[in-house]
Amino acid sequence: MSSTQTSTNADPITLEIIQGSLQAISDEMFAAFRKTAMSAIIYEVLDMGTGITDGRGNLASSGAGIPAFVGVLDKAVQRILQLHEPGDIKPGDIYVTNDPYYGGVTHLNDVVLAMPVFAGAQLVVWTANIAHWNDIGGMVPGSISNEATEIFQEGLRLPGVKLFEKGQPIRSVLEIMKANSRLPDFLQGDMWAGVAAVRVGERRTLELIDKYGADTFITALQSFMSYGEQLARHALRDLPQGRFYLEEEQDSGAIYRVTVEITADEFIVDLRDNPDQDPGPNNASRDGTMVAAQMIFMNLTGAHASANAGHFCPLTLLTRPGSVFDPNPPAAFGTYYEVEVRIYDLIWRCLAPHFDQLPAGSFASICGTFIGGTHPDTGRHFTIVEPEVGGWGASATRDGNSAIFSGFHGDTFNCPAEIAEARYGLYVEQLALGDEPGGEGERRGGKGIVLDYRVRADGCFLTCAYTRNKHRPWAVNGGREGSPNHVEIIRRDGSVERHAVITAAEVNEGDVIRIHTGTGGGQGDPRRRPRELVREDLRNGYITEEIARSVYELAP
Amino acid sequence: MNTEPATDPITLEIIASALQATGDQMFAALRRTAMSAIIYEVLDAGTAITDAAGDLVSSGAGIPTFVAVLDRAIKRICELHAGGEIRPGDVFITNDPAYGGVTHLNDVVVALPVFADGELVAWTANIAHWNDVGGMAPGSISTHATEIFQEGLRLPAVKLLAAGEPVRSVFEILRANSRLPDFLHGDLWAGIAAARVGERRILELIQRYGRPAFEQAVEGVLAYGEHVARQGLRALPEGRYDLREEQDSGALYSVTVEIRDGEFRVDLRDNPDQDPGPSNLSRDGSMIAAQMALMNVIGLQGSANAGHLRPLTVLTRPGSVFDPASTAACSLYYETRIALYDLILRCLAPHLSERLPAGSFASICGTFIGGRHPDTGRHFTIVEPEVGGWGASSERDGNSALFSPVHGDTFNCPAEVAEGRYGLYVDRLALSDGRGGAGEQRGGRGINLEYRVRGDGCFLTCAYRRSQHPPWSLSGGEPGSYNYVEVIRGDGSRERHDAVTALPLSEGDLICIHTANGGGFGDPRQRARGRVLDDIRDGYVSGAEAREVYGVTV
Repeated sequence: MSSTQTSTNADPITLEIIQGSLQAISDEMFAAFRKTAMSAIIYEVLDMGTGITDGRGNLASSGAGIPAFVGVLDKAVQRILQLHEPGDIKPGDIYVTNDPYYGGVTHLNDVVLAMPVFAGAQLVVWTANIAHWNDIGGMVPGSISNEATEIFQEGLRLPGVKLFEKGQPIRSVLEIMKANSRLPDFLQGDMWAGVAAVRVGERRTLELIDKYGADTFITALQSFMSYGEQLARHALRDLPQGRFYLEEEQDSGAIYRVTVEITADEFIVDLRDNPDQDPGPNNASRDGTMVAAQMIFMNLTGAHASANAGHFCPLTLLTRPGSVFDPNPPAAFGTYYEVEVRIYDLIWRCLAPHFDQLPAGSFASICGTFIGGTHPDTGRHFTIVEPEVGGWGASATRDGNSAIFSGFHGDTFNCPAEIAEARYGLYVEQLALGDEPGGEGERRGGKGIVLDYRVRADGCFLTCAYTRNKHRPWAVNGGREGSPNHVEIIRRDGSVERHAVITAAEVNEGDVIRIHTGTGGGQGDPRRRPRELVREDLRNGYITEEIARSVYELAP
Repeated sequence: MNTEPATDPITLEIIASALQATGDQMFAALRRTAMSAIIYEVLDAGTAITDAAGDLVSSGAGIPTFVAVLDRAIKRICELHAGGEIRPGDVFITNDPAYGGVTHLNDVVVALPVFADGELVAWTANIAHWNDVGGMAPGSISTHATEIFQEGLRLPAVKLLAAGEPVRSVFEILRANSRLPDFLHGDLWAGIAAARVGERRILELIQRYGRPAFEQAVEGVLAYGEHVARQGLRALPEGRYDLREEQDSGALYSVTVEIRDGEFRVDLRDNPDQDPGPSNLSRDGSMIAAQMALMNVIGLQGSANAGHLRPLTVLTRPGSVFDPASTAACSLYYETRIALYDLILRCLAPHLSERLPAGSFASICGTFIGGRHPDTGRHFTIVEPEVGGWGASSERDGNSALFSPVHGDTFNCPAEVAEGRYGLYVDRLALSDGRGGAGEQRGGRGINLEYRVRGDGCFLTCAYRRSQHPPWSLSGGEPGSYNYVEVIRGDGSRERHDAVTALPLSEGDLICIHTANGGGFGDPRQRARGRVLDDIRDGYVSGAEAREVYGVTV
C-alpha cells in the first residue's frame, strides 16, 4: 500500500487519537451486540466479531471478537462493493451476506451485516459485524450437516443484498429470513442486535468526523495503514528467510501441502498443490484460506493492534480454483471451520521448527458440537451450538495452556453450566481437565477437557465434526504427541459409542454425551523435565504415577 | 369514463366472458414467455382473477387444483399486508403453505393487485412449478424431507415489486437459492408479465364499462356460481356416506360426506396424525381436493369460481395429515391430495354411479430425473407427471393415457423436447399391455414409458401411489393395475420402485415407467362380444384374457 499522505495539517497526536477511537468503536459495537443479542452463542460464547473498514473495504482497525471473524469483514465489504453500483449504496443502507460465494467467507450460519458511513457524499467507512446465527434453515436443525454436498442444503443464502434501505428495513427480506429459520424469534433478535451494533459504529464514526473533519479522519485511516505496513515489513526482515514445505495427512486420509516462502519483503503461502474440493462440507473459501494465512502472519509479525489492511500488504496467498482451499460452486461449507483451523495449524507446523516463538501443536479443532431436541421443561425446541476448549502446545519456555479455545477463536467464552442447563434442558454433570495421556515433554502440552452432558428428553440429537482425532496434536524437539479429540455416547444401558464426526445421532433420556478434547503437544524430551515439576504435576493430578514413571522416568 | 351503472344482463355477460378470456390470455402470456419446459410444454401452471377480497372470479387454462390455490394465496397476502401496505405497482410472491402457498415450495404464486382510481378492484395471479427452489435435493422435492426447511426457499407472501420497481434484494435471494437461477429468473419474469397482462385487460374493461358495471358483473358471476352449485346439489340424493381406505403406506384415511339442503359437507377429522415425511397436505390443499370432488358431483362444465364453493364445508383436525403444523414437510402433498380427492369420489361413487366413473390411476406419478447433459455438460432436471388410465363409467370405457383428474389441461413433454433438453433417449412410449380394469366397461390403459440414461452420475426420484392398492372398480368390474418404475441396469438386473429418492443411475440404464389401468365398471362377462373382439383386434385385450376374464373365445 502506498502511503499517500493527503495534505492536511493533522498532528500525530490527533491521528493517534482517531486511531484509538476506531479501536474503541469496534469495542463499543461489540458491547452493543453482546448486550442486545438474543442467542447465548452470541452473548455468552461471543461467537462474533466487529470491525471497521475504510470506504473501499480495507480493514482499518483490528476490531473485536474472534480474529478469524474480524478477517471476514473486509472481504465481505469488498464483495458488497463489487455487487452494487456506487450510486446504489446510500446512507442508512445496511447489507447482509452469509454466503462464501458472495463475500460471506465462512459458512451460511455466520451472518455479516455491513453499513456504509458517509461524510457528506463521500463513502468513508464501513462498520460491520459477523455472528453465528443458530439456525438459518437447511437440511438439518442448526443448518450444519456433515452430509451436505451442496451449499443449497446448508440454509438460506443471503447474497450480499440490502437489508435496510435509507434507514428503513426492507420488509420482504426480513420476512424471508424469518420464514427460513427454525428459530425465527432468535434470528430476529440477533439480527436487530447486529443492526444496533453497526448503527452505534456509524454514530461514533460520524461524531469523530464531525469533531476532526473528514480530511483529517481519512488521513488518520491512511496513516494507520501505512504504519501497519511499516511494522509488518520491519518484522518480516527479522524473520528467517527461506522456503519451507510441509505435507500432512488429515484424519480423512487427504494429504494437505503447504509451501511458505519468506523473503525480505514478501511472505508467500502457496497452497496450490492440494486436493480437489471436498464432495462434503469440508471446504474453505479462498477468502477463508486467506484469513488463516493472515492469522499466522500476525502471529509471526506481532503487533496485535496493527491488524489492518496495511499490515497484510507483504502477504501473498496462492490457491488453485477447484481445490479444497478455493472451491467452485456449489461446494458446501458447513464445517469450513475445521478446514480453516487445519490450514492455520498446517502453516504453523510447517514453520514451527524454524521459529522459536511458535509452540507445539494444540488440539487445533473447533470441536463444534451441536445438540438439539425438545426442552423437557418448556416443550420448546433447543439447539446447542458450541465450540469446545482444549489444550495448547508447549513452547520452548513454558507449558501449554489448558482448556482454552483454539487460536482461531481468540476472545470467546464457553457457556456457563447454569446457562446451558436452563436454556438447553440438559444436565452438565462434569467439566474437568482431561485425563488421557499425551503431550508429555520437557515442557508439557496443556490439558484438554472432559465435559459430560446428560440428556433429559427422548428424541434429541448430536452432531459433531472434530479433527485431530486420528492424527494427534504434534510435538516438537522430542516431546510427545498430544491426545485426540473425540466424543463418547454412553447409553443408559451402559454401552459406549465413540465418534469424531457424526450427523444427527439420536440420543435419549439418560444418555450421556462425553466430550473429550485433546491435550496439546509437548516440547523437548520428557526425561529432561525438571524433577520437581514432574512431582508437582503428579501432586496436581496432571499426570498419573504410571506416566511419571514410564514417560518422565521419575525415580520412585 | 362511463359512470352510468350498466345493469343490462348482456353487458354483464360480456364483462364476465371478458374476464374468462383474460384468464386465458394470462395463461397464454405465461406459456409463451416461460423458460422452463415444465411450464411451457407440460403447462404445470395456472392463472386466475379474483375480486378485491380474493374471491375467485375466473381462471385460465391450466391445472384446476392450481387455480383454486390462487384465491387462497391472495386472501393470505391481504391478511399479512393489511393497513395500506398494498399499493399500485406492487407484486407479491408466495410459495409456502403457511403463507397462502397451499401446495409445496416448488409452486410459486405471483399476485398483482389491480387498482382503478387508487382503489383495489381485483387481483391477477398465476402459479407455476419452478424446477428448483433450493433445498436438500436437486429439484427441491425429497421423499426424505421431514421439515419444510429442507424443501427449499420459503417465500412468505412478500413484496417482489414495490410501486412497480423490483425489490432487488428479493430477486438476488431468489437467484442465489436456486440450482437453476437462469430458469428461475426467466420463469419469474414470465409470471410477472402474465399478471401484468391481466391487469391491463381489467383496466381496459373498467375504462370501457365503468367500475360499477365491472363490480356488478363480478358479483353476478359469483352469485350465479353459487346458484348453479346449490341447484346441482339439490338434484343429488341426500345422505351421509362414509369410507375408510388403506393407503400404500398402510395408513388408513377416512372421510364422511354429507349432502343435504344444498350443502356439501366433508368431514376429515378422523384421520392420522401428520406424516413425519413430506406426504402432508395443508388445510387449504384439503379444501381444494373437496372442491374438485364437489365440482365433479354437480357436473360443472367450465371454470369454477368462489360462488360455486360457497355450499362447501370441510372439517379437519389440526395436526393431522390433512391439516398439519406449519413446519411439516409437504413436497409430496400432491399424492396426498389426489389420494384425498380419490377417497371422496370412491366414497360417493357407489351412490352416484350414473355421475361418477370407477377409480383412475389416481397418482401424479411425479418423476424426477437429473444429471449432467452429455452434450452440453450442463445440469438438467426432468420434473414431470405421467399419464395413466382413467376408470370406466356406466356408459363408456375409461380414457387411456391421460393425466390425472387433478391435472386437467396439461401435456406430456414431447420426446423430441425431452431428448434435446434432457440428454436422455426416449426408447418407448406405448399403452400398457398389463392386465387390469376389465369390465362391462373397461378401464382406460396406463402407459409404459422408457428413458435410457446417457451419462453416468444421474439420479431418479419418484413417489407414486396406487402401487400396492390398485384403482378401484364399480359394480363388479375388476380393479385396475399398478403404478411403478422398473430400473433395468446395464447388466440386465431389474429393480422395482414406487418411492425412491436420488437413486443413482449410470449410462445405459433403462428407466421403465408403468402407470396403471383404470378400474372397470360392471361384470366383464356382460361386455358385448363384438366389443371384446374389437379389443382383441386393437391389442387392448389378449386372447387369453378374453377367454379367462370376458368369457369370449375367438
